[in-house]
Amino acid sequence: MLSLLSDTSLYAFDLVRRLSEADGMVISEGTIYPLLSRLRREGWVSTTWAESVEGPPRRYYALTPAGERALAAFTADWRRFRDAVDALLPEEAT
Amino acid sequence: MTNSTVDRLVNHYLTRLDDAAQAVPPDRRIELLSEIREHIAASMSGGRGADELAVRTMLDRLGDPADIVAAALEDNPLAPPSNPGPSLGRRPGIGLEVGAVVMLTVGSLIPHGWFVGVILLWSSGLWRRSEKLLGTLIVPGGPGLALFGGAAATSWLGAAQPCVGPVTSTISGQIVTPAQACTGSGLAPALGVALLLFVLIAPIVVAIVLLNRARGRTALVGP
Repeated sequence: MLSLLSDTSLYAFDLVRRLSEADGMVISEGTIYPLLSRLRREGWVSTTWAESVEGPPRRYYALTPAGERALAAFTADWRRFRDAVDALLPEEAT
Repeated sequence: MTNSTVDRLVNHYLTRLDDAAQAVPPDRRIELLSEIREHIAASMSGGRGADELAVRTMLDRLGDPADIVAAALEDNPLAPPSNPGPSLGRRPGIGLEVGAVVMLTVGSLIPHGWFVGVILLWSSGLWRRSEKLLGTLIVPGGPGLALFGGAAATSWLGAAQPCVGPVTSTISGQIVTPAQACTGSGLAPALGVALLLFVLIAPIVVAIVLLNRARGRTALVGP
């Protein structure tokens, strides 16, 4: 989720849709909102309201500097973890 | 016609969510409901279609209100937990203490068993220093060592000390020698039995006392 926000701020609905379209990441789109709320409380994500052409004002989410650091740390950890697991697993036979 | 069906679907969903979200703290509940409302409004206004099928699909994708509420409660440790009351399994165990007394008594029959018991005894936080000293010194080496040592000493003493007295000659040196016949070693069997009883019983008594105290203290520490 942080990664989706790294380049641009996203409108809540689009953010949720893009997450749910990333294969196998989300079962219930509604559960993303509590997660977003937590990221907001952690100070990793900020929200801004913007008027929309159609319908009510929309809530946009963007990464805060703390969120960017968290994303960078996670990315590094994840790569290390992935490499470690790859090194342990037998090579694919393809 | 279609509009009222769609409204009913949406309202029904929001009502279910609101009902399920009673356990969520009020501010978070309001926030969650408004976010889901916005999600629904955005979906219906964004040219994605507001017909019944589109709305049903959208609500399906949102998921079961109970799942959303579970996610909201999950990351909110300050919220009252969904399971009522403090868990009863929290009482600190006395596994370490049981292990210690078992190793100090029965465990002393196996090599190094008694030393393991001493280490466990001293690593427990439930006993006072004096109690740990008692547990250690009541029978150093434990009943196991005392039994082996005692048996070895008895046979060695019995063989080494010849009996002197009126009826000696052929049966000298045997433990079955009558007491009045061997004043020197005659006391040894009686003393041996007393010592044997002591090394067997004392550690067990101490173990029971130590365990009882440990149990009493966890009851105080526990919830």
